[in-house]
Amino acid sequence: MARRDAARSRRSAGQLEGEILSALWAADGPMTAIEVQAAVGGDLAYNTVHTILTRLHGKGQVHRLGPAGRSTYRPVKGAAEAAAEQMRAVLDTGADRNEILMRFVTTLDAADEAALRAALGDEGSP
Amino acid sequence: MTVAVYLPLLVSFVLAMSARPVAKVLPPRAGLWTLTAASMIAGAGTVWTSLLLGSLLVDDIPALDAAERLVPIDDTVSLAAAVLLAVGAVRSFLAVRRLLQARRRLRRLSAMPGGDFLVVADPRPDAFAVPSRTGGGRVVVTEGMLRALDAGQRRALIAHERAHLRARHSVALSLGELAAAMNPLLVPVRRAIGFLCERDADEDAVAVAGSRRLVAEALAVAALARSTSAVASPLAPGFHQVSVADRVSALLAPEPVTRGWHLWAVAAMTLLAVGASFDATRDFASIVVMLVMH
Repeated sequence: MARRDAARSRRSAGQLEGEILSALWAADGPMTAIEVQAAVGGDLAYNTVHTILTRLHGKGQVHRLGPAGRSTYRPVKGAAEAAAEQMRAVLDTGADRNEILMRFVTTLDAADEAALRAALGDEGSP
Repeated sequence: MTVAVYLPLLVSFVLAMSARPVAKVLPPRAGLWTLTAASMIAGAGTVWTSLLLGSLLVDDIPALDAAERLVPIDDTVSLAAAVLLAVGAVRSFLAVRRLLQARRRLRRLSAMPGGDFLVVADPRPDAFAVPSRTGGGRVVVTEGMLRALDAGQRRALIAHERAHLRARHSVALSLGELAAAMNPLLVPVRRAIGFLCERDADEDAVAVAGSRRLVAEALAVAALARSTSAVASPLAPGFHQVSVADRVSALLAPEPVTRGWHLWAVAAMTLLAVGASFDATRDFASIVVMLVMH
């Protein structure tokens, strides 16, 4: 038990909030806590999922629908649409050009793209 | 002084030539800060050298005859140093202005309501970390990116971006930018620092996601999704593109190749530059004293 807790604690609260919020965003409709637990994957306990969903609801980042116990959750989208406009405005100024903005992946050139497809292909085959 | 004064330039040159191959074998966390310190010192050392050499041009007065014999530096060298100094000053000014401007604009993204993880409703796949002045910052991910990845890949992405913020990589990137502005020779070092920041965050993502292969796949899938995104991306490519393919192959290498002795080599070279600057400064001071005595 202690070992499982140790493994779980490697993912901080902030990391888990991000993962759960992303799972809700990637889904096509509202999800119950059990569905979220399955969608996030890994060894996340139901109680943890529920606690974080409640916290996200408290922060106004997810909507909670339906009666307690059978609630479904979906992300609050209004702010995200405003954020998209803001992001586009900021990036259009070229603020991302010098990399104090740290992007997950950069634009690929043709050679990189071929190399990546090859790497994925090689690794993908058992 | 004649030899010592050129050492910061020599060190910058060696750093520039070795930055790319060395970055591939340095342990990322220690390597990025060592290279940042080395480039700052080499940058400052170059400025100092140029100042010493350039000022001999200004002091080209009859009283200097004795000094001229002591320090056989001809005017072309002094002139070149003065030009280098001027170029460095202009570039530094522009770099600082650009960094402050970018920070000011990014603050608008930091000021948006929401937590330290912000999803934006945009179909184009994109994700990045926006540092804040107080440390920390926030991770911004588009809906398009989240839909392109599976749960494990999203875990890797979130861990990667959070690692950038926690390790304060933006500080190393800004300092590297400044050093490269002071001395254009150091541009490849700035690129190597950018590469090591990405590698460092990738390794943190491996620790959270539990698999090198998973992080490599997340990178590849995200990069391919971005490049094949149906909507043409208006996002301009950065000045310092870090190759995703290089990061993927570092993750898929049988075991991470890190050689600690490279760190010592970089550190030793940097100390040499510091020593040379001290030496040159002392010689310069004695010339000034001699001039004043005349």
